[in-house]
This record gives sequence, C-alpha cells and structure tokens, in this order.
Amino acid sequence: MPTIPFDASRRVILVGAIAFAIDGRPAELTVLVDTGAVRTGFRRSTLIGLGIDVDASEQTIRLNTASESLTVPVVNLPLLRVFEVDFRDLPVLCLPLPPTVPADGVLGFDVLSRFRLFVNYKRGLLVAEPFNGFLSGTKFLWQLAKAM
Amino acid sequence: MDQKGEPIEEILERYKGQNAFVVIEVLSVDPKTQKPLTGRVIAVTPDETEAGLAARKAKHFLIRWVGEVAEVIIV
Repeated sequence: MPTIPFDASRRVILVGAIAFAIDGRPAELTVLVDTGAVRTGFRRSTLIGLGIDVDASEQTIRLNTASESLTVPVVNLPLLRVFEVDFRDLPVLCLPLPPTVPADGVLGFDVLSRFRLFVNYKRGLLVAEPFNGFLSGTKFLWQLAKAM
Repeated sequence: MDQKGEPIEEILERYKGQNAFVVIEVLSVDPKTQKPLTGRVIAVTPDETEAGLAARKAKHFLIRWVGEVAEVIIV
C-alpha cells in the first residue's frame, strides 16, 4: 500500500500516475487528487498521446464545475495505474485544463472511491489503500499510524 | 546525445519559462522508484494537440508545461 509524499506548499495534492495506450506505451502523469470532482479526466494532449482520438468520441457529458458549465468528450482509457492499482477501460473525460494548471489530469470520485484515503496536509503525506477485505483495513490503519 | 538521453530535470530547466508543452521520450527510469530519469525532447509546442501527436512517436513519454503555473486552482 502506498504512502505518497506530496508538496503541501503548493496547496494542492499532486501525485504520479501512469496511463497506458492500447499498444502498451506508458505515459508518466502528474494528477490532481480532487475530492470535489465526480469524474476522472485528462488533458487533450495526454489522451491524444495515448493514441485516443478524442474528437471522434461519440459520447459527451455536460460538466458543471464551480466556475462554468461545458460539454466534454468521454473516452475509454485502456489502463490507468494509480496508487499501485490498475483501472482497465476506464471512461474518462477530456478536460480543457488551462496550461498553467500543473497537472495532466484530475482524479475524481470514480477512482478515489475505490480507496481508503488519509491525508496529512502538514506532513504532505497521502495514504491510499484499495478496498480489498479486512486485511487491507488493518494495513491501512498501520500506514495511517505512521503518517500521523 | 547518447542512448540514455539527458536528465529530465535538466531538460525542463532548459525550457523553463517558454510557455509551451515539452514532449519528452523517457529513455530510462529509476530502478527502485520507477520514476523517469532521462529522456530526449521530441517536441516543444504551445499547442496541446500537436504535443499529443508528437507523443505518439514515443515508446514511453511525458508531457510537461514549461511556463507560468497557476497558484490557485478551481476545478
């Protein structure tokens, strides 16, 4: 189970993730842990780089953010590895993140809800444990104690 | 440039402030952490679509914005 350090001075939680193209090519990503986001999404450049044709997507979704409402494509990501867990064929949004946002994408509720999460903002530590039975809960408590 | 490329941190430092996406092919990773160590530049462009298309040429890639970074984010 990972305990992931992050730079709390940036006032956002940025962590690493890896996405894979359908041919297995990996992309190293920096993603924002956003407990306020319902869906996970990535930049256009990332999705195109993974060989996904975002403009050909037949599915779109109306996205309501804190500041605006917009329609964005939904595409299938072949594989996302985050907190040492693999998500296959994950439907993700193509997000028009401004370039100045220092992230390739956003992890939302659809991914984050698969984990027990603990954040120590003061120390800049995130503990993430997938829901995998009783033993995982015990491991989580152990990691949590170390991250306190 | 040799097969192992340049340290990625050095590449990003060199392009810092250009307000562009730097597309890097990762050539080596840290054997312990699996984090990218070295790479080579494939493209430098302010256009996201161009950056993505350039990344398709790489076996293993990362794309980083080298320019102004927002301090406050509202999603």
